[in-house]
Amino acid sequence: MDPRTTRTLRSAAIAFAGALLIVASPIGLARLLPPHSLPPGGFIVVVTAAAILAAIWTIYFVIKIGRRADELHRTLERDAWYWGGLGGLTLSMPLYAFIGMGGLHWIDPAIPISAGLFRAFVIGYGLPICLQGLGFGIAILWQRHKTL
Amino acid sequence: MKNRLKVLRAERNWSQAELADRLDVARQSVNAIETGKYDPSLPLAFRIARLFGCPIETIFDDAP
Repeated sequence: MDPRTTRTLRSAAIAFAGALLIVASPIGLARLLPPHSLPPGGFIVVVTAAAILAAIWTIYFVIKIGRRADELHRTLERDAWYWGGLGGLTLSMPLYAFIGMGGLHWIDPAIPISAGLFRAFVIGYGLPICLQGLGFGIAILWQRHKTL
Repeated sequence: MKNRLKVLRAERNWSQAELADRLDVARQSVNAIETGKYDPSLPLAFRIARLFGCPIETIFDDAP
């Protein structure tokens, strides 16, 4: 394995392990605290703040890895994200419809079905898709501004 | 796109890894360019041309 690949893999491992540690540490620390020692919602705020820190940590390494990568690997990754992401999104549509309509309950009646679960599923599915679309929109506007 | 990268490299007795180092790319990139699986960007094509001291069009040929 060439040194460039080794460095990239090392950075990716540090990024992943670090992000996991940052997100998991408040959960671990909360277990050490006496019950109800945090104000209501306090734990949610702390974990959300940890997730923001983990995202910043990950972005730092993603930029570092991206800058270090040579153009072939950047091209391959861009194509993989574009076509792989597009394929994944397309595949998710029928699954979304199936699960959203209660398909899992239909297959196995032991899986519960309720308005609350349906809402959670719709938000859980919709949030990353909407943010991905928003991210794409911002990126394409920025690219056009820079290029055209 | 066809190219003469392998020939030029062989003339200088360089390994793919050596050429990759000189071009500041990964060895797999040199291999992909040599086998015609990947066409380099214009800046990289210029770097290759400068390294071998010949015009780009004598290294790369876009004729089908």
